[in-house]
Amino acid sequence: MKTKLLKEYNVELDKKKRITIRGNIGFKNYHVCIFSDGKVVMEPRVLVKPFEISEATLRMMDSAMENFAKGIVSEPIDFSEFSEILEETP
Amino acid sequence: MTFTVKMGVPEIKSFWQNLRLKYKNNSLSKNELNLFKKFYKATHLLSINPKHNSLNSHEINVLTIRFSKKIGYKCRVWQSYLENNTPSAGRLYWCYGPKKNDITVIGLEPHPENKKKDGYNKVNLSDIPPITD
Repeated sequence: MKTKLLKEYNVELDKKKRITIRGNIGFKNYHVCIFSDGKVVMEPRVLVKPFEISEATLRMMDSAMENFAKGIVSEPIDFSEFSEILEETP
Repeated sequence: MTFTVKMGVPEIKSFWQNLRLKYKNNSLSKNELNLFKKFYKATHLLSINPKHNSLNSHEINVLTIRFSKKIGYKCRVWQSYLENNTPSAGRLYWCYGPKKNDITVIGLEPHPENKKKDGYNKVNLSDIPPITD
C-alpha cells in the first residue's frame, strides 16, 4: 500500500533529550527502532490480549498430543450414525 | 478433499463416547444435548471443509510451538468455533494427522469439567514453563 506524506517538519531534542511528535498520529503504541546513523523508525503497534486457555483443556491437549505423537487416536467418527442431527436446521 | 475425523486419546475420546452413548439411550440433559449436536455438526464440517466460514478456523501459534516441540516435528494447531456469532461459543482444538487426510480433535473449550472446582482457572501460555522431555 502506498503511504501518503501528511506532515513534514524539523524537530530538536528538548532539555531532557525528548522529541515531541505533533498532533494526533492515530496510534497510541509504537515500536521504536534507533539506528547507528541516527535514523529513528516508529511503527504503530496494537496491543492484543494474550491467548488464554483453561488449565483443564491444556492438560487434555497435552495428553492427547503425547498419544498423537505415538499414532494413538480414536477410531474415525461415523457421520452416518446420527445423520438426523446433520439434517436439522440450526 | 474430505477428512477422517478422529478424537484425541484419552479425554476427548471418552467425552465423545460418553455423549454418544447417552444420546443413544436418550439420557442427555438439555445442555449436553445442545453440546453434542454442536460438536457433531462442527466435526462433520471439519471433515468436509476445515476452513469453512462458519468454523472460523485459525491457527493458534503458541499451541503450534508448544506441541511441535513436544512431538518433534511441526504440527499446526487450529481452533474452530462450535457456533457462529456467539462470543462465548465453545471452541475445538484440532490438528492434521497422524495419517494423511486425518484430522484429530485434541481439545475442547470450555472443558467439560469446568463446572468443577478450579475448572475455570486460566493460564496464559507465555507464563507456563516449557515442556521438558
